[in-house]
Amino acid sequence: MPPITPVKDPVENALVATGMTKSFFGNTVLDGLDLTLRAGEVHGLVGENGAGKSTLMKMLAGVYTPDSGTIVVGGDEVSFSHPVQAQRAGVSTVFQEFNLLLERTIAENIWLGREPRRFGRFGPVDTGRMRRDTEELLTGLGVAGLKAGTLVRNLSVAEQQVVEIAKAVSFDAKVIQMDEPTAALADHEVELLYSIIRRLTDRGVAIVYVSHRLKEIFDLCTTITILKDGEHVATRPAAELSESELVRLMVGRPLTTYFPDKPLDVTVGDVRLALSGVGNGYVDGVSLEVRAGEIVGIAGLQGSGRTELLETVFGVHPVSRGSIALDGSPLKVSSPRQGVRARLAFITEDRKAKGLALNQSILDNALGVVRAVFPRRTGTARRDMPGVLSGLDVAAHSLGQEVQFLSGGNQQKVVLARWLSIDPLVVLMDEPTRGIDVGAKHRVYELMRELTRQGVAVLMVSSELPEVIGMSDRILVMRDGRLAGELSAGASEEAVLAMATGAASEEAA
Amino acid sequence: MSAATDPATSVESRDSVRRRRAARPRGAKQLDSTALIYLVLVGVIIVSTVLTALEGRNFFSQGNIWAVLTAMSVLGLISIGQTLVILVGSLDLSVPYVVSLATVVAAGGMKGLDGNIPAAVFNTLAVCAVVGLAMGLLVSVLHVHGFIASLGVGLIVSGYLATNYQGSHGSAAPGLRLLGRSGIVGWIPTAFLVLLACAVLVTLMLRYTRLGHHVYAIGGNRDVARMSGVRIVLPVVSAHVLCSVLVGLAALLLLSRTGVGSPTIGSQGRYDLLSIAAVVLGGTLLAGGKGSVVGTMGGVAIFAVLDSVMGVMQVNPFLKDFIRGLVIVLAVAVYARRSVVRRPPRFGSGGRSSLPVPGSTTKEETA
Repeated sequence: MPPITPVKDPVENALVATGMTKSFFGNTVLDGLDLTLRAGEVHGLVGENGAGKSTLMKMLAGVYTPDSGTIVVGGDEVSFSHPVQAQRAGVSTVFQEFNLLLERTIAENIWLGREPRRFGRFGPVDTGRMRRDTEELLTGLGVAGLKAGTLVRNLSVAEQQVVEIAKAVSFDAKVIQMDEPTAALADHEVELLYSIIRRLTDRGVAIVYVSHRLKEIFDLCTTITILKDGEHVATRPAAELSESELVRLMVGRPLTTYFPDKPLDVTVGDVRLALSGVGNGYVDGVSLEVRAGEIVGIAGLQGSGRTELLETVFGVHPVSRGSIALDGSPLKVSSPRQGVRARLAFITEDRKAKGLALNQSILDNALGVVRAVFPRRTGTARRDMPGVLSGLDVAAHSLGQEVQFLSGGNQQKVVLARWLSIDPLVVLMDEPTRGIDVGAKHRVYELMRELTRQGVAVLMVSSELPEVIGMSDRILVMRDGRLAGELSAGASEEAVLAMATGAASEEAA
Repeated sequence: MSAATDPATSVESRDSVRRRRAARPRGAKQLDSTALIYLVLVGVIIVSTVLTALEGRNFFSQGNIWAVLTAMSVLGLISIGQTLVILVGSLDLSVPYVVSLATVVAAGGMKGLDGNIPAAVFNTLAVCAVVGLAMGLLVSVLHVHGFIASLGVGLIVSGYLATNYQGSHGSAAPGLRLLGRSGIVGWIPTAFLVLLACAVLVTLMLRYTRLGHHVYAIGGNRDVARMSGVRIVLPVVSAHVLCSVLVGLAALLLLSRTGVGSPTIGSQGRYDLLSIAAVVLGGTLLAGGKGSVVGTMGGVAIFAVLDSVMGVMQVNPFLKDFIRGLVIVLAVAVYARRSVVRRPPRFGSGGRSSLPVPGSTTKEETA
């Protein structure tokens, strides 16, 4: 479809942000960024994971307070310390995680905190007006057949998103930010979103559109701003950019992390883990092989099914199509416990929620898996554990220290130690170096090499392209729950990104 | 993408609406839990009528209806309060001790004289309100969980009662006792009318005031409520204060029947667990944010009917508890099946994959 040309001439500035800076714990994530949004335009915000898009959005949404910088909305300078202030000033945000109450109706969600009342301040809530205003909002967005009284629980994801957008509009928004709005939508639902965005821009609303999907960016946006490592790279009219140029601007960073060389004494052995046509509710038709002593990286956008693929192998989600084999014999796991019994290790993405018991000691955490699944080996594991932990350079006062007081890197090493204790055949890693310092990262990389030397098969999911490229023997790219293709070890970041975003799907597939 | 027509006038196509609806979660058209609970109530009444008839008596006799409605009123008032507190995401375990405290304060204040009624009633409800206020502030300002806050306050009240009162205390005014025996048309006791009035008022409050809306919002998801600019303290404190006042009112009804204040009457009645059970039986989520007073009334009625028929059949007390327990567990097991789907599946969960080609676009619904 052609790019959208707003009916209204976009001359007026809806929002001007200058010098937006934010750092967390001395780590600058956004450095002096300027952004100008003209009324009626769709402004694409692109960049890799960690480029600072979310931080910028959250500052404009009033979730974060900027360290410095000014925001001018509709000519007035504003500062927000709460999302509601931003909404009142005319900046609304539709986050990826919806802010909706599932057990309340559409109308109750839209008007929450500012329910209209009859007869002044102490009067009853005017439910009739709430319903009428809600239905007016929804018709105004061109959505048919949504009742104001329907419980949000009973809506599809696309409809919940419509409710979020209607809520944004109800504040008379001049600017609506959308964070990966299509991530949870099926293809035919994207069409509805496009038509809603068109209606909004016709009314002069400026849309900030954050997406990894380049096709959408080019379909929708009039202007594109590219961020990288917290800094502004370029702002260009969409018409002057090509996909390849955009990808080039997004990547091309200096390589800051050092990856240990591939050791020469590792011989890639037989196939350890083999998936053929594996599918369930989250992934579909995935066939892949990981050999002993091999590191296979999985790249892809957030929501592309990478985590779900690892979870499926580990037994979190049942396999409904296809089969998995381990060392040539069929592997049937229907629970994580069975996964562990088959000597699969799974280093989860969110170590605080799923990896560790934060208020328990290092030793208890490290022995967690052995105790639960191989209780007879606990004694041996307990004896060996101090050696394993010091081998990983865990910095702690004692083994009795609670893991919540450790740094992210040391926490991750405790997670690794717990999985080493089962002598895994296959190690599934989901974002193994997320949120840890450079030193710990390097130790994790070294450990991965050590594991391959012992003939372990490593399947690693990572959002950090240099990591995937620097560590993997082969790179698999996922898109929309399926494997989009395979790239060899030395592939460029552009190639990976192009395949993951579908920018070059014809050539890749 | 169809961009053929003028976008400002094009309304969503029928096809699009149909497909959007198809993506809605399954079971959206299930019977809602309030309807379910009243269906169960009707079932229980039918069974009870039959069982009562087998004993040679009439379930719908004037005396029995009067007894069932009277039995409902005390637990009913307490359960309305408990509903409010649970909806806002808290819990009140202090209920039995506040009942005892209220009967003692009221009976002590009345000293058997009608002239003392207004002052005694006011004092009783004020004392209850203060206890509720304390719990509300503990929960909302100091972020103590309602379970612990109310348990602690309840134990303090219980300790105070045990130290200062041995045996019964004071006596109810004749006017109050008369109220306890009065009713309309010989079928409906006044106490039940009080319950009905409170149920209607609280329902209106929940439906038609901002306070009520915010009670649901906070119980549903505190963070979402806060992000929407809802203040947390007022609704939480209000729910606790209202709950304790309703408990005080229940205690006055109890006093109208017993005639004397007792420091142990609340714990004997086990109102804490019974009220929570009635609320959950009535379809309110124990975690808060969903439920209604109407549902709770259904739950209370089921308990009252069960008690009545078990009384007629002279079931022994242990078996009574067994049956009550069974009803609660079954009800909650039914509700628990309505689980939350957090991450919606992308593909159909069964059957064959229709598009095995990697990199092709997301397929439509299978299965």
